[in-house]
Amino acid sequence: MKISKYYISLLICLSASVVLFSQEEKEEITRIKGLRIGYDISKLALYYFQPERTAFDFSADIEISRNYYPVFEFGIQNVDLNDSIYNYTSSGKYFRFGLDYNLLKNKRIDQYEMSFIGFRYGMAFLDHSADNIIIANDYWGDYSGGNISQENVGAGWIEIVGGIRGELFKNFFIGWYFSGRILVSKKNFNSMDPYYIPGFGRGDKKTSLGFNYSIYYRIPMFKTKYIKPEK
Amino acid sequence: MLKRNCLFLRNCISIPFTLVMIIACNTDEVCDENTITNVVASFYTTVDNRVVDTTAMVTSIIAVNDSMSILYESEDAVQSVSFPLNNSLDSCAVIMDFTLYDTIPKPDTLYFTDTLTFFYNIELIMESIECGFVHYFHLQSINWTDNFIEDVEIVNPAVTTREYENIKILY
Repeated sequence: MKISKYYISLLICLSASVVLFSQEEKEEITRIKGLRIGYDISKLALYYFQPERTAFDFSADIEISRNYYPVFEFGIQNVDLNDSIYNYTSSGKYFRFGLDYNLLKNKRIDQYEMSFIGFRYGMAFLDHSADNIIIANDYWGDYSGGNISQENVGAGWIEIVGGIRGELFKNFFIGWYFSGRILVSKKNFNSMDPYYIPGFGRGDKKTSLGFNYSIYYRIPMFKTKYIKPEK
Repeated sequence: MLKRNCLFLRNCISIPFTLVMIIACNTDEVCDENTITNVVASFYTTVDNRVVDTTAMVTSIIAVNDSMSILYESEDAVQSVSFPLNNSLDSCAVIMDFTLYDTIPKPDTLYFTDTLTFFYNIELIMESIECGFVHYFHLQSINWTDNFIEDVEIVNPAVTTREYENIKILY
C-alpha cells in the first residue's frame, strides 16, 4: 500500500514537471505598447548655466508600428534677464511634432532599446518686452530709461534629431537626442529678436543645435503576446 | 542581451554628463559686434557739374551741446568722416571746421566754419543679446550754413551700425 502511494506521488510529480517544462518551451513574450510621457531633465541644468531662463519640456510618443514613433513635444519657457544695460522678460510656449524611426534591430520582441533618427516641425509663440535700456554715448550723453513695450512674436522651424533611448526599469525609460534646427518662419521680429525662442534657441540666429535628455514613463495600454518558438 | 542593455544605459546616462561639462566650459558670451551708429559724410568738389576732388580737410567736428564735445579731429585730407548723432533728441547740430590751402592769387591757408543741423527719426533696435540695444536713425532733412559748403544731399537716410555713405557734402 505504502509502495503504491509512493509510485502515485512520483507519477504526479513527474507529470507536473513535464507540464511545466513544456510551458517553458512555449513561453509567451509580451510586447507592451502605450503612450510614453517624457520630461526633459536637461533643462534643470539651466539653473546653473543660464539662471535667467526657466524651461519645462514634455513629450509624448507612441509606437504605431514596429520602429515608428510619432512624437509630440510641448514646452514653456520664461526669461527674466537683468543686465547692466537692459532688462528683458519673455514668456512663451512651443509645440513640436514629428516622427522617430528606430534603427536598432532588437533581437527580442520585448526589447525597447532605441537608436533613432527623426524629424520635427516646431512652432513657438511668446510675449517679450525690455526696459531700463541704457545706450552709452560719450559725446552727446548717455541715453537711459528706454523701453520696448510687449510684443507678440512667433517662429517656426524644422529639425532633424538623432539619439538613443533605453529601458531603465519596466516601463521607465531614459534617453537623449541631439537636434539640428533651421528657422523657416518668423513673425513680428521688429525692434528686437527674442532672447530665446522656446524650443528653438537663440532668437538672433537662423540655425541652432539642441539637446534633450529625458526620462519617460510608458503607460502600458496595449499588450501583444507572442509565443516563443520551441527550441 | 543583458550586456547590450547595460551598454545602452551607460551611453544613455554618461554621454549627457560629458556634454554638460563641455557646454559649461563654453558659455562665455561677449559683445563682438559694432554698436556704434555714426552718420557717414563724404566730400565732393565739382566744377561744371564734374567731380574734381573727393577729399576735404576737415579739422574738427564739434557737437553743439553744453559741453561742445569734439566728435572728430584730424589734420589730414579725408574722403569721408563719420560722427555720432544725438540719440536723446530728434535733431542735433554740429560745427564743421574746414581748412583750405589756396594758391590763387597767392599761397594762403583759409579757414571756414559751417553748421549742419540734422533732423531725424530714432528707432531703438536690439543689436544682439550680448551687446544690447542701439539706436538707428532715419535722416529726414539737413539744414546748413554755406560758408564753405555749397550743397548737402542725403544719399542713404538709414544710419545704422553698418557704415554706408549717408550724405554727400559738395563744396
